[in-house]
Amino acid sequence: MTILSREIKLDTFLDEYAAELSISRKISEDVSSFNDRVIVAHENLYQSGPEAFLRSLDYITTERTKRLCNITFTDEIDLRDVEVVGDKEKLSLNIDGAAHVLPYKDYKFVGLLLEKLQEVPGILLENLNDSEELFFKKSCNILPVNNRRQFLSFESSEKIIKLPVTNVVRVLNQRDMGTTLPFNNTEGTEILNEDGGVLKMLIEYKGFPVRLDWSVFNITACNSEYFKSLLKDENGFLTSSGAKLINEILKKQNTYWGK
Amino acid sequence: MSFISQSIKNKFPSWSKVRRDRSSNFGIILDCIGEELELLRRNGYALKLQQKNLLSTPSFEKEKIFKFQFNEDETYDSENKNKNITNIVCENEETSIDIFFNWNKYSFAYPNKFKVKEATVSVFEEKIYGNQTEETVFEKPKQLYLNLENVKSFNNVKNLNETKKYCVILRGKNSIEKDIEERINITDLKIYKTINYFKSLNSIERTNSYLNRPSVRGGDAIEIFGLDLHEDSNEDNDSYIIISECYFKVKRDQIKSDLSVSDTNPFADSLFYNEANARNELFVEFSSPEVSEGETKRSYLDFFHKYFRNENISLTVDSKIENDFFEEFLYTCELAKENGDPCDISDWSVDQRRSKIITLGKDKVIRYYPIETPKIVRDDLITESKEIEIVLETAKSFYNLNEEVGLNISLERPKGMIGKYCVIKHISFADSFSFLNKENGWQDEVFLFKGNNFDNVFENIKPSLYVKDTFDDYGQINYYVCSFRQEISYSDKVSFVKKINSKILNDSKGIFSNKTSIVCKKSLPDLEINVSEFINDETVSISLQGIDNLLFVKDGNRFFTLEEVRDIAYFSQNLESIYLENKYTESLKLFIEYTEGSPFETSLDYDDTE
Repeated sequence: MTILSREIKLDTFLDEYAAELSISRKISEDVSSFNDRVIVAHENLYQSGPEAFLRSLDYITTERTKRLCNITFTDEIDLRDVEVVGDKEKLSLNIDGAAHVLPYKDYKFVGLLLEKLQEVPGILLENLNDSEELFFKKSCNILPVNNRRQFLSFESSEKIIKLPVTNVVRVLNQRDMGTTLPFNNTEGTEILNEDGGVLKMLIEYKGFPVRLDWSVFNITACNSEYFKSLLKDENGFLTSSGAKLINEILKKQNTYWGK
Repeated sequence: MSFISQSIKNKFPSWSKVRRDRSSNFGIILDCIGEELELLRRNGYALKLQQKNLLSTPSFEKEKIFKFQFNEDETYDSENKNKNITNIVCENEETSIDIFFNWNKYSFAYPNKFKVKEATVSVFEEKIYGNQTEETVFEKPKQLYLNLENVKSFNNVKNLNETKKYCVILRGKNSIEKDIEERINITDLKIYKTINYFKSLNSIERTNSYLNRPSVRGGDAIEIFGLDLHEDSNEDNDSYIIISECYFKVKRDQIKSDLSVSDTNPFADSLFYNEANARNELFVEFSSPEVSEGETKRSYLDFFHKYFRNENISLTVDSKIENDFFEEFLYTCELAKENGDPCDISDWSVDQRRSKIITLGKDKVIRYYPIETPKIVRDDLITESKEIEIVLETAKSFYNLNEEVGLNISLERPKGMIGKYCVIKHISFADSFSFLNKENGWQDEVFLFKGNNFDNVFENIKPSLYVKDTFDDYGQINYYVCSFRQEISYSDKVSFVKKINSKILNDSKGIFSNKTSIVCKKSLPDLEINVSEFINDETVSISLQGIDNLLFVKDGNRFFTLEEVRDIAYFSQNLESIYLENKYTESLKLFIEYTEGSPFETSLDYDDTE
């Protein structure tokens, strides 16, 4: 006679700690790669910010997020005038008024998109992943990006305040009803604090380099236009695919009472 | 010998034999107790380490296992559970499985072989002579090592900032691209490991708690405080830090699971009495002295005790004290091959999971050595008398090969006249013994020194004897001294020893004996694994690291990691099942023989359905 095996996952202390972070190890996953996931989860635990959810996609399952490239620009281009926004349908770059839109339906694969991206004038691409597998991954799975950044509650009482970030677009005084503060952007980014009091500032700036990441998850925000177009047709009627999608969501989260 | 027993012995007065002489009877009893306590402490420490998985200390238990339940086989008799097993075999044509009945032993079992897990092109390693501002980006987030073995001294306290006295601050980004800053306080010139995982090292600006929690003070990528670093025309005088992803070729390391206890604290009455400790973690240093052509190269491990936990007190530029002033060598053991031959070792590392030393020899063989102090075995060539008259003393209990042994023989507790006395050297590994003669040599025939009968009983063997001897082979040597008032008749040395023994056992008056033992140790490996299939060069560096105890190997320009492969199983008669660690393509045959009844035979297959 033959006895068949049963694979058992043994609980190590790492699993116990990971349970506190709400992640669990798959039976087939080895402890070393699980440890890597737990570390990223641990580092993300105490971080806030609008991208915390996108970061969590890296570790909530065994499918890790892949880094594609860093986008920067040549010195001739003023980075304050560059806007890089990626959403569910396209990656758009606005360089000093000149728009470059790369729709994902035209550049279906990541490889093709990156090749096209290199043709944008003044762009510098730093490849972060040499894996050939990534070439044929779907572009629509690229995680949303936006290089518009805000630095909240920066406080200083120095006479000449050196701002902690570069490519600053606007500085607002948080204590004075959001009035705009003039800043000198020629030699570093500085603000002259004439009164000498404590200034609390909100700094709007452009974050560079912009990193493109690819995830196995095809995510979309429920309040986005793209999601609405998935649910309803041009006449505003619920489509069959939209109904399926809503049913799938209700299966997972059946207490949703939104519109 | 365990260091915990030394800690118990230290409760006795410093003149007592139990404290000074490791071969004393009471010392041996305390060693037995101490060894058990040490085992308990090590297990406790292993449990503590288990909780530090995020710091990449090895996981002591495997993450998964394959269970085979015997009930699933119809031929299995449930009565077998209560029978005694005489033989158990689990194997297929390629592999034979080692079976364990104890979970602890199963978890700490040695590997049967190694396999290559990952090959990488390069390893980050850099010498640092001061603060660094350049950016370094790593392929994956890494914990970094700071090797301070090549730092010559600390800066003087008076010139330093009170809050940043002796520390290295590393700044950069972690795996989620957030700014991180880690301060490592330097107390000792050893290897430090960062707690954070660095994706890159770079200078960062001050940020507030909105972007970073905890907030970052900002500064250079690497900032160093309180260390005297400089570049010299002579490379040997260079003082620098090595920062790396993985450390190789270290001179000394700390055995974190082991405790070292010295028998005295020489700084107890000095200025350093607050800082000096008789109890510390055990340190081990590797040495392989150069030899002339034709001679065999040998490798040694020196175990030593550090009195200071904070070296920045004793190693400052102005008042630098040499290492040997605040360190004490406990013992040295030569690392040998399984057959006892000397072994030339290219690199070594500490296996934290098993508390062993792992070495890679130039013969491309990996060896596991136990970390243990030499053991002194009780040997009774001559029975010790209840009362002691003449005392034998050596400066220490553990010696190196060819090291000089100074033997003091003096009258300490006189009982009256001494007719004659003799000193016997018993080499236990050769089972031969000889007698000390007038020329301080050792002779095969019995030689008796003449005692005296003075009014001052302390002068009856005056002057005391001081004998120099050398260790010319590994093992234990016992020295005996016997004194007697009356003549003893004998025909040869064997009958002489027998007569003394019978008289002591019969409680005859006027006959006293005492002994001391010393040891010279050679460490034999617990296990040898040939890895020549993976290694090209003769001089290769290794380092054992990570949660799954991977062996990092640097072979010339190649860098790869070796993974342990263990063909082992845990057998539980109570649960009527066997648990295997690995998956095998070919099915395994299991055969269990009992003291009574028919044996149980079955085949073990892996269920591939999810």
